[in-house]
Amino acid sequence: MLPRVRKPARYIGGEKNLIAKAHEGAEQVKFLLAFPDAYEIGQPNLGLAILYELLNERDDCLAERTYAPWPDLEEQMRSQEIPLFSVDTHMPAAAFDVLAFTLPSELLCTNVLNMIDLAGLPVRSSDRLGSHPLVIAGGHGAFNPEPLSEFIDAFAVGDGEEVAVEIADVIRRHRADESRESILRDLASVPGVYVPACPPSGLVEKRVVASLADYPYPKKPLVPVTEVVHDRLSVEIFRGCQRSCRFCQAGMVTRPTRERPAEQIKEMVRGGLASTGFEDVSLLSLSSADYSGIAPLLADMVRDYSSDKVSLSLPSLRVDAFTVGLAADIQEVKRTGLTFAPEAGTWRLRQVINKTVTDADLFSAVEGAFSQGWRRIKLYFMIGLPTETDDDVVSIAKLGRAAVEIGRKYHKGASVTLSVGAFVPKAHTPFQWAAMDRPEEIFRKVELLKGAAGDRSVNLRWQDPRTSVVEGIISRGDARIGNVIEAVWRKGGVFQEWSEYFDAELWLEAMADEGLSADDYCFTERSRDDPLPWAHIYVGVYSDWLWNDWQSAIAEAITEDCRWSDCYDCGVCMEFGVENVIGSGRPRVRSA
Amino acid sequence: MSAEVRLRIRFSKLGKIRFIGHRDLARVWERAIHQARVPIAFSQGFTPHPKISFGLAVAVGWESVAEYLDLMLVSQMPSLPPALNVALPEGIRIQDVIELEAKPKSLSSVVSRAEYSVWISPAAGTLSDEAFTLALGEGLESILGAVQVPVTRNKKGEEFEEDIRPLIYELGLASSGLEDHSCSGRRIRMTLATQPRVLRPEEVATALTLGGLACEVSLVRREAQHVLVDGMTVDPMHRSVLGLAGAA
Repeated sequence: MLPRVRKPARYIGGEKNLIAKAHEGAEQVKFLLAFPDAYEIGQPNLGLAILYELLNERDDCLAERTYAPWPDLEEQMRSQEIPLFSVDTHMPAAAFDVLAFTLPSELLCTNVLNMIDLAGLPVRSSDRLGSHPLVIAGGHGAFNPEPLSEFIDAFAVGDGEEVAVEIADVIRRHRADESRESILRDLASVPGVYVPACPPSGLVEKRVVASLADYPYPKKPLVPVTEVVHDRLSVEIFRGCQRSCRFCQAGMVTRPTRERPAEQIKEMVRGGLASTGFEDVSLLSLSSADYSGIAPLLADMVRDYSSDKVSLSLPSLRVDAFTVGLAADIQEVKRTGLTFAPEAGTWRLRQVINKTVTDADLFSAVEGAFSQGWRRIKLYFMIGLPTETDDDVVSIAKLGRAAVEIGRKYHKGASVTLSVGAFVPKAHTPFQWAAMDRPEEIFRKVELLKGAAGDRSVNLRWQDPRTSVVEGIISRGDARIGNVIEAVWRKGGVFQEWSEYFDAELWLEAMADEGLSADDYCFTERSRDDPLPWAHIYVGVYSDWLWNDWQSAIAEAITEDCRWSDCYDCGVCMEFGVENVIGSGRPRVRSA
Repeated sequence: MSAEVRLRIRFSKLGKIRFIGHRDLARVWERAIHQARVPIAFSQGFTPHPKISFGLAVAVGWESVAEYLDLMLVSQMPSLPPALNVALPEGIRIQDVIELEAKPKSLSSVVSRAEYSVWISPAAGTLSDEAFTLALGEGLESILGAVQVPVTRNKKGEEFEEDIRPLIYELGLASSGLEDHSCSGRRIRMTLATQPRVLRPEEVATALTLGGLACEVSLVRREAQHVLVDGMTVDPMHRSVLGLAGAA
């Protein structure tokens, strides 16, 4: 079968550091970790890499991986009746106890259904039997589980390290069950697990790992034998973020900030490089320059690896934490692309979204980058934000032109790419009540931007706003959206994250058939009394606090970072008995 | 510069790893060389590249026990084969290493023929095993006996006819052995040109099908690569090939 498909290397596993354990008897709980997108996107996923190693380290568990088969392979699989299989050992999905999805993005949910179906299972949870593998889902999508609640047996909300093992224990106890009832009931009693068939009496609280230092994973990452999107060693330097950007779901649901000790980071980099042969290291987090000991950490790494042709990258750099010294450190080793995300064109709107970087911060970061040798930088913005005016939009282009002017002081060919995406409100954020712009309005604003760019060195890139509408429907969707997802899948709508397969019409038709309107889900502002479909999922941030922060947004008032200002009582530390784990209580110096 | 060491490596690519392409293979080698701390030489310039040069590309899906690459090191590394074998993914293994005395001509320019094992099976249930073997033997004989073997090729959307007979050196049913391979089909041996172009075993199967025997290739394994020296075919590691060293 594989010789007849494109990129067969997607399906062979064969990575270095692969842990191919023997499938054993009843004591061993077998996980098939599933990523609902192509191998080259899913293979580098850090969450699955952590679970893969952590579960395989245990004698009583086994984990293998599977990814969404590309449509050419799917066709072969269906015609030859070959079920979804693991890439590690090519075992069929039915040989596992659990099909465990991560839900990284809304548009991939039809792939989840497709993979359940390819595994040979009924797509609806209620139609499955005790003999079928359990279907579990975690990751970001689990924070608003309702759109997939008809299809997934249990959602694991929050950090997965501890709960995965607890789920395995429940499965082991119920191995001989004929029906699903008792195992689902037991799963529902595990903290952080939401079982739609056994609605909780109270709230389902997310799981939080108190200290990252207890989980130095992955220790020996898999090294792909074919090209993947992030082909490098990734080390998570902290989890959580207190910056409180009001649009950012990750920043709200992963709090509080938990830093990994610097010594452990260095050890993970050393061990990871030695076991993989990777030449690039990425220090991952939601805002890597915010790591409290970033300067000494980088200095040490530059000292240890600069002669070794190892490159270093820090994704998610905030401009107010990006200094010339940092720029110099990064480029010392090997220069990679540099992206900053001011998110909005004016200081006024940045206060609304609480992305509190000033134009001066931005220009000084841009100056730092160009002066240290970068010739092209990318700036990321959103349009369609709450309270946005045409002036806010046009100002994006002005910033781009000003950045190019700065660049020209250093390089004749300096260029700036403005990457613009439509704002999508997300559950559990202060903007969960906000309306989003209609695609027509986004298109109009893009035209405004095009007109204002006016410089060949300012490149403008934007995303199809119709994909944002679908994202918006699902991200704040309720259980009724499940029928829409199923209908789109049944009409062949898979790989909707990919522009060549995305089909807006399929979604709009399915919405209409269900008697639902995108107006209600996306384009209308919600009131405080509207029930939120994700209200039973508790991430630790008080709903009142979110509402008040939403009101502050409209009033253009900012919320400070609680790592170096007073606690504003969002709730997470109190509710979970955990707190920020940071090396230093001081903000680092703003831009040099 | 006296410390520079030039090595030629023969390696195999067997099993699932056969599905990676040439670029992936290059990356896998670069990474293994880095991980094994091989003292590889780098090119000069703005973006230094490790000095690795690969021979003929092996197609996606083909196995091989006879792939070659040349490395330049800045110093000797006696433990190189075991260290690299540990760092390489399963299925890629070093078979042999020799040291070159001078800068060699590039592998792809000196290799002119390659030898293959090709597993061929009848197109969906048309023949019994015995009848198929018999027909296959006859089909191969008729190709060898033909003055011309025209096949249709497609180049940049344009179809044209080409005679592949001059690119075929040897063809025949393999006696036996290697039958433990999980692959279905009857194994045949082929020696085909790699210059002026690489003739693919699949094209020979196409010629067989055109000759009336509907068949398909289930697996190709490159068994050897040949260099022509004074009318004799030898391995790229043979002393006489190294004698072809350029006057660098």
